[in-house]
Amino acid sequence: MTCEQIDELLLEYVDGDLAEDRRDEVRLHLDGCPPCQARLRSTRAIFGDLSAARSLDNRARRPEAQPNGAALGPGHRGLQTLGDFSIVEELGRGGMGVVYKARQTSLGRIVALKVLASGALQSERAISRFQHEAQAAARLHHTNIVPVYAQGEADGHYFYAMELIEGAPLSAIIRAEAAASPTARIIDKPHPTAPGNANAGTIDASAPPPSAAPPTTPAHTDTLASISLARAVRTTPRFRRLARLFAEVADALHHAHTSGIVHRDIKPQNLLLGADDKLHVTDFGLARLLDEPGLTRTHEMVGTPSYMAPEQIAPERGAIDGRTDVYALGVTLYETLTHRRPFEGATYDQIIHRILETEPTRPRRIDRSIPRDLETICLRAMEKSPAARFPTAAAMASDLQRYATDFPIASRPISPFGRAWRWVKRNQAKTAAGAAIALVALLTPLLIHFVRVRDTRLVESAWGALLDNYQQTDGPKAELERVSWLSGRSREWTVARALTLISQDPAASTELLRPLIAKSPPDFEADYLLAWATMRAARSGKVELEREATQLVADTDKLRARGAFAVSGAAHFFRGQALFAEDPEEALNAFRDAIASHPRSFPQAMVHRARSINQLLYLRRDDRYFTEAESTLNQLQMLRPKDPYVLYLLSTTYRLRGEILAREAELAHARGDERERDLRSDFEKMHSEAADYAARAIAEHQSSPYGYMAAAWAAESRGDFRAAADFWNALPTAAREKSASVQQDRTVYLMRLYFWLSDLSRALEAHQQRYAASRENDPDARIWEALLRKTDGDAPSAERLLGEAAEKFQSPCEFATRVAAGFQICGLTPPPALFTADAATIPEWESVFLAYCRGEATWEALQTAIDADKPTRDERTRRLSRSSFHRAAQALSAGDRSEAQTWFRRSAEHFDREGYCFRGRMIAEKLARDPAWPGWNSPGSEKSTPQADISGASISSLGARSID
Amino acid sequence: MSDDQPSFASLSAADTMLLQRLQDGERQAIATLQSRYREELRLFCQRMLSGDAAAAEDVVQDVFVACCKVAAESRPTTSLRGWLYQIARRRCIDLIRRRQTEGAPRPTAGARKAAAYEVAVDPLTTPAGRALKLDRAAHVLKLLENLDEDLRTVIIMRYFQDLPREEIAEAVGLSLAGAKARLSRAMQILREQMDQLGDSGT
Repeated sequence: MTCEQIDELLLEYVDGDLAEDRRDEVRLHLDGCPPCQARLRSTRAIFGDLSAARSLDNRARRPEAQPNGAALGPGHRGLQTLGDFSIVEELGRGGMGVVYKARQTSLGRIVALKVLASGALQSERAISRFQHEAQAAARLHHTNIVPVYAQGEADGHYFYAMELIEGAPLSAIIRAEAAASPTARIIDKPHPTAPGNANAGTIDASAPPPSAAPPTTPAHTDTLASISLARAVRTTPRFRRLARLFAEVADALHHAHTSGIVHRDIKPQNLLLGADDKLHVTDFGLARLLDEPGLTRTHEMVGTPSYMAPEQIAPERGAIDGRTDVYALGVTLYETLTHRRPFEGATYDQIIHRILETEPTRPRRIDRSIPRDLETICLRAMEKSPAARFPTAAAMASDLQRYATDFPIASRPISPFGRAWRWVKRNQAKTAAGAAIALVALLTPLLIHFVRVRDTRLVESAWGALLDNYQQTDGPKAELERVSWLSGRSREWTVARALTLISQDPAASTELLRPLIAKSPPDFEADYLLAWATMRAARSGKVELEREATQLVADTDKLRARGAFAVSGAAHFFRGQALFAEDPEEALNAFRDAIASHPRSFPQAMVHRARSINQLLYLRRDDRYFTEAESTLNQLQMLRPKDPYVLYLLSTTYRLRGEILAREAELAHARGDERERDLRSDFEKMHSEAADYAARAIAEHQSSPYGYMAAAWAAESRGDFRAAADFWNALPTAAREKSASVQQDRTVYLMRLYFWLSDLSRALEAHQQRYAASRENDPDARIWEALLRKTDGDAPSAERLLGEAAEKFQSPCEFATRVAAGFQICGLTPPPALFTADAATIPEWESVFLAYCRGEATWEALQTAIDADKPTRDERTRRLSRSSFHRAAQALSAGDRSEAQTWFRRSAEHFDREGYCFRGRMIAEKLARDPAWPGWNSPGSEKSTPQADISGASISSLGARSID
Repeated sequence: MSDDQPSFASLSAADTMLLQRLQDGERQAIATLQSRYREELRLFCQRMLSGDAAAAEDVVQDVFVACCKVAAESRPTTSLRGWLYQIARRRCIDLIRRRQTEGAPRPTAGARKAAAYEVAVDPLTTPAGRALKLDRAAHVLKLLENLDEDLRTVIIMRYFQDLPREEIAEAVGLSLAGAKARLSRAMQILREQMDQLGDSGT
């Protein structure tokens, strides 16, 4: 790095805001660069001055209120303020110091302040170690790690401030539970506990020595009863919750480990159960101090070694690393499950000996109700050899999570064989040859059992993978194929198999499901999945299937309402998918239900919930969906950081919001409202967010189409059509080929972009690609081609194409009128036949619509007719959008450009699903950009100046288009 | 490039919910917001307004009134806290400008502030080294006082209010990179001015 670059980073370097690798770079440079060192010194000096200035300023600003020092004990007698902190009350104390509730004066916030006993740190090294560790801990950001706000020294006291967690340490809960549970087997002595609430006395490096007091119920029994962990009510949900709580802790530990910090003192006293129903890990970095030679150790600080891993006791057993914390978390889990510590003893030495030499009693021998899986996880974490434990805290988190959510865990219990082997290893002299024979006898039933278990696991694993992402079918398909014929085609197998087919071959999926449904009792998963598969099959052009799918959903809903059958998260998810296109609002509810009823977190349902919120944001243009979409997606980003679809949805959310703002800005402009500028700058912000997320999706997932699509739409939304076309063209071939719908989007949008850019030959080329297959089913194929050719100066072709279309698409009525509008846009008179239809075959409003098109009914009459039969919101949108489009087409053929533009835009603003939005925008934007177009209109048309090119930002089409 | 990536310090779920409740006009939400940020914002405004406590109190009141009309104002994008600072900053600067154009170069406030420092410094009967440090501290405060509003704002936010850079960006309506650059420039100027003090002092 150059000195200039260093200079830019220096501030953040001194601030401690640089990432580790950046820090190292700066450090490396500084080592060999005296001028930069001088700048560093001067920066440090100004930092010192600023911090002094801040406390000076604080003195001037401090509110009169003085803290109440009554609760302070010996050692800190009279201590009322400490630097920026004023003490409110004492929360607890231990071997290393006292914990206070305090107020940070400069920010007015309440914190938990840990003050080390004065003189506890005696050497420079211990002091710098303390500062270093606290700083490192302060850099950890994780929901389950209590954040450290500040650390420092004042008046000879070393302290650090952290968030005040309202709650109780796990140790207090275990104790209360042990006391409350009628079945509790408290063989061991009552556990020593830290005082009962917020960040309670956890400063001591270990528990105070066992107190003689009986496990009295603490004052806050009510709280504890409601947060009771496992023992009080031994039901599966309780154990699941416990597993979830511990999984989160393991995840937090993993986070710390990847930042190079090992806690080294995990124990119930250091895990605080907050009101948010999460365990918060506290005291990162403090344990390390105990190793410091400069630390004055008091007897209390030594405490119990119960949670120490073998390698902490005997360094030759291995180095201390993340697995040391895994071990201690295992012991903590053990104690939470059984209410006893795995290794007890009358003396310190006895405990240490047992930790090193004996196997713990299996939890299920203490209490049969403890689930086998939890026992397995617990014992694996507590393996004496680090290599036999979970390799990382993340692995432990994942197994706990799997248990919490009803999935087979990855850890295997130690088999009888394994247990025997351990015994052999420990008692080599006593090994009898007979043991080997006994083992062979064990094998046969195990083998028979094995096939069945394996098959079940294969299906479960495939199902789990599909619920995580149904579009990735290779793995699940392979797993399902491996299922042995012995196990047969179970209901589970069939449903999972049908789900693997949903994207590529929905029709096959329906064929698998129908026989199953015919012979099985009410099976909502199968029913809703069938509805979804049917809906997808409808995409191949069989419109009647859409109705069938909707009917299926309605029937199943009715069935559900009648009986008291539970509906699984998966079933809700399928229902949401089936409803998505027809009724996004209900789909949103279904995805919400899916998330709520699924036994664990359900990221895929969250993705689709976000997608339906986006769809609503797109259809309704209602800001309130934005907040929900944004927060859902931000959550998702954490859950699925590697999913390009999440980035795509984020980009879409910001883009849609940007479009709403741009539209508001436009309206503000029309009103002369000065908020216009703010709106525009907000739009800019949203737009750059949208572009950023798209760019990130492209950078991180080059083979996925989502980044390119998001980028193209963002560019189009911004009015940069050239860039939009470039993004569509950059879409990798593999991604185009993988999905027909991606390829359709690409070509149809390219056609429109090139039309706007007046690059007609490219537009026609895109048109050919788009409509090659659907030319005979889709009137748009000929209408657009006619428009492009006419614009290109080839009037005869246009006329021929429209003539063909008029022949071909006389019904349904919507097709016919669309072709008629094509005539009008191209400056031709449509054949009257296109405006007639058998009144018996069309709804009432459509008759009025035809009358309007023929010039026999007024616009007002049409509006009345549209609302007369109280259509659904989406249906009404369709009608309005279609009517506006026709009014615009008429105006254009009459030569009234500005009227035409107004109504084409109106049509585009209705965001219907039928495509009038796309069509309306196609013409409106062209009119806005190209004052000379269309050249064939009557010359008398007034010369309206095209509106400022903001429409590009304000209306886009098919924005939140479903890509699923 | 990596520095310009959106920071993803996006609005937390809790903040979002609070905002939603605020928008629904829930009294409790306003109370929650106040208890969380009021004191901090008051200090910030006081610092921005040269120690004028009464004016700061008024501005903070204003800020909370404004945020009840969430829909009418711009909305937070990454941080509720940063957004509150944004409103507070705007109002403070408006007030400062108004006073300047009204021709009253805030004499009372200045006097009051000076008095406050004297009170603060006086009782510290400290060794010489500490006195020097306090001297420098008082000088920094003076320099800050004369710094350009924009530059002063970011320094107060970062080093007096402990706002992370992402929140500063939100509060001053800049990109993260822009906020960093401004902070860097502000510190540069302050550093140069302090260095001059050192030179002249010795």
